[in-house]
Amino acid sequence: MARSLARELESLLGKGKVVADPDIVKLYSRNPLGVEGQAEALALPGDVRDLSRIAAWAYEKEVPLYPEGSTTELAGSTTPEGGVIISFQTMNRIREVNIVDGYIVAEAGARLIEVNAAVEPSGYMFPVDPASWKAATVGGAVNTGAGGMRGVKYGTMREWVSGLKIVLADPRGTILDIGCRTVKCRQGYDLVRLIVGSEGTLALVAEATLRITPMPENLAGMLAFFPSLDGLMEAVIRYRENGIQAFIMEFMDSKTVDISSGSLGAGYEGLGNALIVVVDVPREAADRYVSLLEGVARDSGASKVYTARSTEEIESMGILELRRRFFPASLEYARRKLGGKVLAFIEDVAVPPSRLPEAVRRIRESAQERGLDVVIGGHVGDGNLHPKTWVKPGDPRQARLVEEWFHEVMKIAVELGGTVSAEHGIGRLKRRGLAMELEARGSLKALELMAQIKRVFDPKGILNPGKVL
Amino acid sequence: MQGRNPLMDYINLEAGKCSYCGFCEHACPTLRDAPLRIYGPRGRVYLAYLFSLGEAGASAAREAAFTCLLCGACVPHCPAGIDVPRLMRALRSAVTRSGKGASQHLKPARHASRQA
Repeated sequence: MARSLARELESLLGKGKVVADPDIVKLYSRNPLGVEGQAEALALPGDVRDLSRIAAWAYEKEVPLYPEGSTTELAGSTTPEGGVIISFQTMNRIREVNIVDGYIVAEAGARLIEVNAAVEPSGYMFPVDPASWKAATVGGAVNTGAGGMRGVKYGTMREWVSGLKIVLADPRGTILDIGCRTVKCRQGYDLVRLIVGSEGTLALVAEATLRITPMPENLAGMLAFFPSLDGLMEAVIRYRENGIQAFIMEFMDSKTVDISSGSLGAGYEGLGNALIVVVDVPREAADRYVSLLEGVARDSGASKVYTARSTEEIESMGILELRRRFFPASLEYARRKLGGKVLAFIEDVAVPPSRLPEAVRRIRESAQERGLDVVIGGHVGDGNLHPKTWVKPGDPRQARLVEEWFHEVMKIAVELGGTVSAEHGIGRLKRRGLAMELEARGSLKALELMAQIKRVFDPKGILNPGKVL
Repeated sequence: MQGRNPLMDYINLEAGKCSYCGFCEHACPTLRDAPLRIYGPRGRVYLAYLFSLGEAGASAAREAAFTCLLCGACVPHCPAGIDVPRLMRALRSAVTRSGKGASQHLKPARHASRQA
């Protein structure tokens, strides 16, 4: 079956654009959580015309298609279940950089690090920065609706994608160019924003027009350690009350600090829970902002505060690197603790920032009740929390406990006026949570509307089946 | 799996540190030339791990190991601190010792790269 599908595809696309070797296909069939799937072949389209041929062929043959960027997603949104994986590694060109008009056009397989490299010489940046930014691709970020540390100031992909080239799963593999290259754009119903965050279930994203913004002239910031999480959360609320518009506002609990700092050799172990606040201010105003940041932190119970008045100082202190280690370092910790393969569960709930203290307290209590080893970090500036735990595959009792806790965390978020997913998406792991959230708001009908939209875009249900709905 | 021989145990332990985050890939010179994961550090390390578990064939493991330049460009980007060149040398020894696996994958990826 796999070989015949691959042969058919190869006759369509030409030699060298299809791989059926199971050992290679396996490399595209898992994500960093350890969620694994299987597919029959891997397609490597060279351009949007190839993509169109694949879509038309899959429509006719009713073959499931699984579009993939760098598979750094954390919701099981790329895991294949049979069918063909489409890798965009061979569609990674930067098509256009237009500084005056403030956009860059890139193919789906271009990495965000490459997008930034293309605009940085002009003093610009693409502001959406998921922790996986070195690996993440444009298409992956579009499909996930990615956010990141700078989300507190710049939001998520939804705010920064102004146009898309997409391919439909229809008899012709129709190519559509939707959206605009201008900031203001009223093009009827907003199909661009419908596709952003749709996790590859509505159309294949071939290319994106992304808005760019000037890099901040200067950053100032603070890394503060708190013995108590309540004190740390109190500081977050007080910054907001004081009108601090953070560029980055992150927190890590004490265990995460120890794990991340240990893996970096940064020397912050044993100092407690960390709060990182970075503001975008001119050098002339840096002193004033830094003393406000430090004063609030100390008043809220911080026992140790490091400050930085320039972008260079922030870099040399390595405080952002400390936060970026949150995911990989804690996974390494889990591997050491459990030995061998582990299956990680990373939550992605968001609550209104005023409810953060209660959210963190209840999430920790729910973990303690189940005897789970949980670490928490997240983008506290926008209320986005990433509590995390892990299990050893093949331990059904532990898996059940973790699944219960995973759902309980989503319930807590919804009860506090939040949402089950801020930036990772629904994928396979949060479909139940999505239904729970909509039901709690008396809006289950929204799921029906989504199912109808899915049928309009993808009548045969071949685009990333089993995800979102 | 463990205890078979020190070489396989080393491969299993070192490659098992990988979280599959992919932070290493953008630095890899061979992945640029041949855009298929087997020609980048993430794919190579994971294949080494699967090979140590007996879940990947010697052919793919050989291809992964012997196409690596051992340049170490990926190493500073690895949050888990995996010594990829050392791991690939070990994998070369292991597949050579196994006496299995003829190289057969490189052409398709290079072809795809040229077409792109």
